Amino acid sequence: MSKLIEPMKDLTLISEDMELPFPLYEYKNRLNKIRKKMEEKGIDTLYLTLPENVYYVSGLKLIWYRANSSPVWNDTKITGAAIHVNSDKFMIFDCVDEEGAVYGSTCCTDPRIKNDIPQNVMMGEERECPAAGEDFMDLVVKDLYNEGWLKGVVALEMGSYRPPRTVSEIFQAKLEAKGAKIVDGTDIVLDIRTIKSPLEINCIEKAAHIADIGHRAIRENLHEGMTELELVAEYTSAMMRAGGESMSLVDMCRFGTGKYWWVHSPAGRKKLIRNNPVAVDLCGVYNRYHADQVRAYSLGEPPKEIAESYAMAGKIMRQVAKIIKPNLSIDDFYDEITRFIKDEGAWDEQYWLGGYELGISFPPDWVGNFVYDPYIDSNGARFEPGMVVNFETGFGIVDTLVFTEKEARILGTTPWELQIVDPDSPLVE
Amino acid sequence: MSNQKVQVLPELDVVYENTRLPFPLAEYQVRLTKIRREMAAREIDLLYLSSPESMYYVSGLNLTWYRTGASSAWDGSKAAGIAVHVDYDYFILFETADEYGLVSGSTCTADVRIMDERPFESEDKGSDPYDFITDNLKAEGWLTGKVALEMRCSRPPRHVSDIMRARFEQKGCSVTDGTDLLVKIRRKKSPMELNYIRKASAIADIGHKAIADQLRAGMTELEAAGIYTHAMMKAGGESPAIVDMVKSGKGKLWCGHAPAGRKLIMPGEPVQVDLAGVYNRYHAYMGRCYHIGKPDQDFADTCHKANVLVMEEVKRILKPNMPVREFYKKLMKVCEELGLRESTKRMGGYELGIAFPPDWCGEFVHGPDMIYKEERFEAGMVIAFKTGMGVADTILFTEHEAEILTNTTHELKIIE
Repeated sequence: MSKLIEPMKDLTLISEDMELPFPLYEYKNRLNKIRKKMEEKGIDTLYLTLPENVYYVSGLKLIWYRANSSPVWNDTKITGAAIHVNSDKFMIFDCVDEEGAVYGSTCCTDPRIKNDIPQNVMMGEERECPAAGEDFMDLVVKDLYNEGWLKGVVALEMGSYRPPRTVSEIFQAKLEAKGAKIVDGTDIVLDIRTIKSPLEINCIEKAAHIADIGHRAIRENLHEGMTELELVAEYTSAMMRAGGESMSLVDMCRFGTGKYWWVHSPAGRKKLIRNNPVAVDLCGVYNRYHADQVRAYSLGEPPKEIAESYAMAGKIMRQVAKIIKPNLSIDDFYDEITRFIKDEGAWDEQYWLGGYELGISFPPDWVGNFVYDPYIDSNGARFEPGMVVNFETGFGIVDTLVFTEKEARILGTTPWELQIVDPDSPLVE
Repeated sequence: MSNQKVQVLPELDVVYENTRLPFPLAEYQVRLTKIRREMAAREIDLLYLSSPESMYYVSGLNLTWYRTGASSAWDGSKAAGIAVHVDYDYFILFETADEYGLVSGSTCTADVRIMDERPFESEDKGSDPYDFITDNLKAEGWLTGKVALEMRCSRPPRHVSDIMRARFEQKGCSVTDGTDLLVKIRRKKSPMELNYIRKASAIADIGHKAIADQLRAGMTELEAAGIYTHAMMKAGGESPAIVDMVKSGKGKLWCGHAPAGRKLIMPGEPVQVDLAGVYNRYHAYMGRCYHIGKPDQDFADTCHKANVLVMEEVKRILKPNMPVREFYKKLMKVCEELGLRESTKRMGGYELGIAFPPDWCGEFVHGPDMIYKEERFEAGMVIAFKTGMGVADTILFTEHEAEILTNTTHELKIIE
């Protein structure tokens, strides 16, 4: 007869309509990939704090991670997920604020929710809380120690913006005091995330449709006298109506030739006047997966140099569409593209001719870990099946490229021609 | 005749239209002086600022992307920032070529040093962006002793900050944490900053009016977020540093920071909407609860009566220069009398002001269960105050009064 199975405590919280972006099988496989990588690198425990990586493993998404908040909350800036190389379960450590989100929207079966103030009972529930001289971080370290997860090498994400440096150093010291040897494990999950599963690619394809909807809203709403912020309002609300989520970088909308090439200028209260170009960099977002799409518009006839450079961008995209294929080496890709641009007589006229990995992201960044351009040593890298990157033509168009086993595709369907809106008959008054 | 050798600078090789600075140059000069005075008091020779909020405060620099979470291939450019020296009445702004137009066109600095962004460019010169920064500062005569970095900020990440520290130390400097320096100065806002926060609050009112007018059963939480975002931006508001704070249904209502999703808002559900109006990156926070159809009595009592009563008490009690401890002592007494002790566990707030994604919560935090020394709600401070039952507002302190910045009712809004 098997030993007596102790029932677990009933959940007392109410969490309606649990929503996990992926089936449990996908999460199990992700965990296995991470554990395999940990084994290869000789890491016993990996402690994740980067929101994107915690989401990848568990599905946890929050609108606030205390990333830059008051030092009063420093101890809870290390909330995250702990993975042990020998365990097929992982733990999420979070404070009581996020109990509902952790239980109701993650695949974690071992959440460790604790009070971050020295008070056992909060909201009618009793939970562990810091004793005198302790803080939330000590409770996390204690749990990891009691599980035996601090024997050996523990990796922290030191290249992540979360937690900030001073907090990371304190956490490291507390782990070391319990016998752990600390190393930097920033790249472990980032490297795995570079190759997307078919389910992830499906999310990015949906995100690209949402980006198309955003650009359609721009074309339909562009009119004289509107501000850059108003245009952001139009495409943002159109994408949200269609089920899109907020982008990790926002307000990337610029009017006028002066701002056209200063691509990180935020939208402001500048008004649109005739013959001004409009550049918009937006991402559709679905389950936090991003698909990037930059297009330009003009209210009336555009300045000649903008029209010419944008036409070049369109030619480059058509050339890219011709040459991309799964496993194409980055060097071969740039040999072709460079030759093409030189043959067109436009070499040295371009802005940045490169790209970066796209996938899961939370504010303040959607730029992924893998980066390529003609000047970065590719180390023989290829566009492998499962990779998703943006490609920036350097002449004004950016789109999202997806590589599968069978094909390589450009996801955006918004035209590559400069879209000219007649100021005397805009689609909206 | 002047014996000074006046050097004519090269023409700017950049086109940037309509230079816009949020404040007059004199305000920036005052800010720099405050910083230098505090540096002198702390015996800091050079302060290197890297957090977007600090850089914006000093210079007006406002970017959509600071490379905060980007690839390690760009680690060097995550060191871009602003150097302030205690003995000089100007500062040096280090940036990449990408931002040259913006830096030239929308900051108050005339001393911009453009870093090599790509490793191969700097490696050809035997250096990297970190060397570029420290070499420039050395040549300027600014590496004279103690250097402070913003080590508690999320930008740059830890390992970039470690490299920065090592490079400054190699140049003979001692390095310390200077995160608190600007945080302390920024806490007390100038009249012009307060003016922007009032504008931001008016924008937040517009967001809530749009929700009150358009919220319906059958729409998704994300659609609701789209409604207030659209309305606020049409009115001139900018994107808040935290987004998508719409939660519907009793189950999600108390899920702290769960984001808006594709969940349909159903009849009979409460809907919590937390948003911030933003003007020139100054934030004013406003949270309200709505209900689709008539709520049950318990919920109506919590969200309707309790919120109204608490906010009326706050208005009655709160005065400029009041000790924080005294405020909460008085407020808790009333809450006890009203039977609201449990809800006060979520009561409290934090400083508001300049914010960029991913956070709008400032340094100073307050709440009934916190331990205070002599902290006061001083003139020039701006805080968020949350009742713990669904209402949040922005409170601004001047010499004469504590202003609760809202024109949106504290009552539960029932959507028929």
